[in-house]
Amino acid sequence: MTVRMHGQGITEGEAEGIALVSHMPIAFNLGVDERTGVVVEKGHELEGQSVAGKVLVFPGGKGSTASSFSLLQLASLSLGPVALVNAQSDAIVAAGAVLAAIPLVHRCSKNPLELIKTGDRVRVNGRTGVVEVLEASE
Amino acid sequence: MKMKLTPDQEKMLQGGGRTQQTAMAMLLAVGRAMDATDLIPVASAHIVIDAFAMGKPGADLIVSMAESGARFAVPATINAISFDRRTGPSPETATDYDVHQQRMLEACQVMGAVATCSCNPFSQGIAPAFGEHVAWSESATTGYVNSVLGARSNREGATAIASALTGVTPRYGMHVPANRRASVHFEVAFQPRNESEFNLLGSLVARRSQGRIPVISGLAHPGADALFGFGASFAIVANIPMFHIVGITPEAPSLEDVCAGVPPAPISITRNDLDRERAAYDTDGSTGVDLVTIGAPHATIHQIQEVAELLKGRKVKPGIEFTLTTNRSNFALAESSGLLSTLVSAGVKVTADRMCFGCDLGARKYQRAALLATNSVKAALSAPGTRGVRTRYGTTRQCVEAAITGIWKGSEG
Repeated sequence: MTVRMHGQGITEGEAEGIALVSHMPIAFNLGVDERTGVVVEKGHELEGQSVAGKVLVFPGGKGSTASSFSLLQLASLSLGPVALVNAQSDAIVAAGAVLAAIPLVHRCSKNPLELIKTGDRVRVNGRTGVVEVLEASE
Repeated sequence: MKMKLTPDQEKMLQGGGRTQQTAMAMLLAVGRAMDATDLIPVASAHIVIDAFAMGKPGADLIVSMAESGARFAVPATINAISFDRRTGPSPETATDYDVHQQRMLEACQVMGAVATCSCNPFSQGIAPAFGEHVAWSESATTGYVNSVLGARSNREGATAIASALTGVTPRYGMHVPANRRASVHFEVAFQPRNESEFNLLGSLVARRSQGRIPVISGLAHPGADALFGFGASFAIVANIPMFHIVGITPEAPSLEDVCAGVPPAPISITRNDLDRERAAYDTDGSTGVDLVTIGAPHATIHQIQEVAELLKGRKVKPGIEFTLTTNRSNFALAESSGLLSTLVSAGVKVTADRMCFGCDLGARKYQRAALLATNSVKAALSAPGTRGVRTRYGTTRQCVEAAITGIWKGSEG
């Protein structure tokens, strides 16, 4: 059974990649090393893991308003996520997704934080808002 | 839901240059995410160009915007930068960051920004009027804009530049009157004795508000500087865009006015609570002070005056580094009024433009865990991580005495 959900597309574009799921909000500024793409926030669920090339699934952003530029910095080094899926996005992540040209979908018809697992192959369409798991990790 | 655009806004999105299109795309993405119905005009923008957070890619973007011929559509001001323009980048801390900082500052000036270079533009006479819609970034300024001035701004980041370029912002959050009401009520059972205690109170209220907009009752008017300090501390502890103080801030003539319906039962804040909050910043038991910093956010002329009066005729103990950070406007006032020479001859290092101690991510860390004395919640919270120091937190007087004697005395105001 394939998991497929409809959300609201915030930024356009289509991308496919391996999912990295965080149940904790992410602070891209200071929480993610912009030179490596690795989450450095102490005690964070994703601490030590890289967001580079991943479909990053998380509740939403947190922390400094500078995080939009952190997404741009990551993208300029090809260390950014290829797509973002949020429960409820926010101004900082949305503006960052535009600067970094990453598709962003939020408010899905099903809970992406539960139904998408780290390691799943996922496709995100930022125009139609469709998020689908192409291949489960197990 | 699709946002309604005016013909002019549609033109910026479709027919404007690449820069305007990027700016509009950012504002529309934010508007969609936040359920904005339309875009509304803003009267001004305050822009953070933090070289550490934006890096070369951020600087390249800003420079390309200026080179594309784009110009700001509304008055724009600039937040604190990584170095003092009077002396230029310091060789001690010089990094690529300063190069990118310089490029971004120049590009913003080409686009029409005024190089205020301050995290306290209010002390430079730049203040939105009651009811004005604006796009101000830097958390401490946004809190003051909403709460004390009664103008309307969300916590902006990159979007402040987008609003400066287009003159509009999505209608959501603080631009919608219903979202500005308080939903948690604190009653303060004592009067804070000085600005340092107001800073602590801001931190305490932010921590206890749990994301809700608070209203505080029981306070006598502490003056503009204390309200700014309260707001700066409030903003660094929680991402809440505003606060109200009954009888003091303009949207809180009474509790009933500021709460949607019946005011929530008050939560009492006592002096004991404040003492516990102080302990969160005055974290080190040792007394041999190495560093003293004042002016985070940038000191006002009255705060500079207070330091000068406490120092008059005395000297900072050799070996102690005492920094005071402010903006060019107050630096010039301090110079012309003679306060600056008092400070400099006493051994205080006064900088303008530059980010405050602790906010300066690119600056060097202290090798051994030096002991910092400060009256700033913001510095006390950020400096241990960014500069590798331990902290003592207290009043301006305690900080100045520590600079003169090298010894931290007591923790009571």
